[in-house]
Amino acid sequence: MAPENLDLPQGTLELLILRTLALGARHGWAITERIQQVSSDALCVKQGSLYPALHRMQRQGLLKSHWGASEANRRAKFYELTRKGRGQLQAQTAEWRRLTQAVGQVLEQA
Amino acid sequence: MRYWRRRRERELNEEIQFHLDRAAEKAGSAQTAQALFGGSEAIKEECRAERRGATLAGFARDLALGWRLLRRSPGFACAAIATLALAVGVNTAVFSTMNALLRFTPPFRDPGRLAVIVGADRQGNPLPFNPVWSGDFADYRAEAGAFEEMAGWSYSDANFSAGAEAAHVQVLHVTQGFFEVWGVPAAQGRTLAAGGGPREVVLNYSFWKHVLGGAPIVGRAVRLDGQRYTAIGVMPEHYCDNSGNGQNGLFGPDVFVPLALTPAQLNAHDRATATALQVGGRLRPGATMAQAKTEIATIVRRNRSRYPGDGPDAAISLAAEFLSSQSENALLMLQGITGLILLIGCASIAGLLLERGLARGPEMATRMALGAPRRRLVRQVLTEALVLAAAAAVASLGVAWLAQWPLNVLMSNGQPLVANLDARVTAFSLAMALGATLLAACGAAWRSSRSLAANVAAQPARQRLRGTLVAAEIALALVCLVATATLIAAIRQEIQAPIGFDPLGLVTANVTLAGPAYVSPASRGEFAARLQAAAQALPGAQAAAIVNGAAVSWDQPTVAAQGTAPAAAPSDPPFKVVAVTPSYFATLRIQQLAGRAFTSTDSNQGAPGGDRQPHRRTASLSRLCQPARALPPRGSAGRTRW
Repeated sequence: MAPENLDLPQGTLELLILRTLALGARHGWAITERIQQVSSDALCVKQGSLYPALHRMQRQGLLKSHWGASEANRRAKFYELTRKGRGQLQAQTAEWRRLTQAVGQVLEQA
Repeated sequence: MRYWRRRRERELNEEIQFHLDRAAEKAGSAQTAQALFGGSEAIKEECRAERRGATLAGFARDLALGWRLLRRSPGFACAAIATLALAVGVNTAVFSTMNALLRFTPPFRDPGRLAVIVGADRQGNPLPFNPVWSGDFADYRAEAGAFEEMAGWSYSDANFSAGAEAAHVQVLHVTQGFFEVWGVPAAQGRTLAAGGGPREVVLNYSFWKHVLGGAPIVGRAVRLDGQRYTAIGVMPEHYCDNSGNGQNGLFGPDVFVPLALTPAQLNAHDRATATALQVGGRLRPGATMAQAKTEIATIVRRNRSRYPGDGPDAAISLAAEFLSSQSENALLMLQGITGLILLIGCASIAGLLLERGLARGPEMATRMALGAPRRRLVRQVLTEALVLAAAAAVASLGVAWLAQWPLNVLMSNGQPLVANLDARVTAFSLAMALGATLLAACGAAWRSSRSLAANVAAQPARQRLRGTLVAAEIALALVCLVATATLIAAIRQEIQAPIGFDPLGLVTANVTLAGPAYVSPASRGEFAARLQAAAQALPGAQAAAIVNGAAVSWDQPTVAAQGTAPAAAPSDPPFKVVAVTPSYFATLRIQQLAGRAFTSTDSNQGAPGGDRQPHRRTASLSRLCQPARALPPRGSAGRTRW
């Protein structure tokens, strides 16, 4: 893990999970790996905090889960997006873009 | 249910374990993996909290745990519950009595528009139940435009018989419009109609139900003092019963009969000729009390100049105000004291809970170390307090129920007041129990959930807080004590104040002489003599006497003694003349201020049971009510009255 890795701002973990699962069903460990890999280890997802978030999103109907076999042929719990989850991903992505753009503008020009 | 819970737990464990195993593979050691993951138990707890219905399930678990913990320390539980129950219960009882007294609404239609007109002193201060003269009533009724309807009523008693049933009854003679003023229709039959027959009678519910046994009566012939009447209606149960709920405090007779005032009575403005009436009226829609007061005051001023002597004085007040104007101060004082008791109770509870929270420090520390989130611990402590408060609330209702009886007796002032513990008061009590406990528990919860270290070593802060609580309790208790002592002193003074006669062992009874056999004064006198002799001969009786009225009452004629100006000073209390048998003073153990009591050689022309108007007679100035002010202190014994 890179020493200068970033803490996630409040609420972004959910967006990262949604984005990661947009490519297909994954289990919790794979989600962690994927986020770190894609962000070049810059983002530090506290591994434990992933699970309460997954459970919450499942309760909210953004995700659904099933038990399947992992790569190593072990039983693992796979999460995937529901239709509602996809809608949420689009909405949150757009929101995030607007936010970062606005903040960026302020930082550049103010 | 349990199957699902177990399965969910198993799956949660499996999911986390899978992650840890993969992480360990990658990191090379299980410790590193665990460190990167964080505390598994805390994470699992958070996951559980995300489950559907988790809040409710957690609450149920906390409740069960709270109950178990309370049962494990019965001493603490009993102390806390008893403290709260006592404080809240007494407060609830006082509150509900206050409520009943202050928010009392008479059982009439639109009571906000009802007004009572009573006699007043020359300053216009109402003298409750002092009558209005019939002539003045006629003027108020004819001229006060703020009133839609006005009626007068007066009492008498009579012998009532319906078939085989006979009873001595209180009769309310009511003028036309009486039932329209209060706006309550009859429960059976009808009320007295305007211009209806003079020989009609309406029965009050409790009399009809309890004395006549509730037999069908409407349309049947009844007799009042031998005169034939037709029963035309029965009033509803809560209209004006003398006991139970909804008694109206204005009138409570057994039967109502029409009162037709003669032209002479309608023009009579003084004590000697007028009929004394209680008067009530209903304001016209849109008319205000202020308007009504001004109108009545104008008529009073005019009549006073037109009819000097014991002319009119009247005060007017809303019926509800009039009825609730008694005993408010005492209740407010009681409410203050019970409020203090509640505060003491709360302080005690706070102390108890805090102490308990501190005693459980190690337990809390352990649970924190095992990963219980702070939220959970606070919730646990609060839930426990909730269990405590619920138990206390139930107990406090019992206390309140018990405290009601003495309060009602204390406050009823002769007219029974039944303050039920209604739903609102119950809610109030529950809210108080909950509020007090939760407030105290919040402090305890906040402290015990702060940090591990705080739970393990919190001695100095603990001592300080405990000290503060104890000091507050003692201060409050002291205030309570002083207030109670003052109250008791006042009550003692009240009790020891001389009332003019000795009520110990005094027994009274009412007799009405009715019918042709008692028309002549002689026959009434003879009956009185026989009655007194018989009463005197009763085993255990020391003395017996007869009086044509109660020893202390307001419905006797007030007279001016010869030689003194009538009601000279405005504050002079009116005083009464009653006819008594010579043994009266000895029987009631009334002390004379000066002179002597009657002897049998004094005139007996106006003997009780004879003429109601006493004639020339030697007066005995006695100490009935307000001795010093009854007459100017100048040796009036031996003077002639009337």
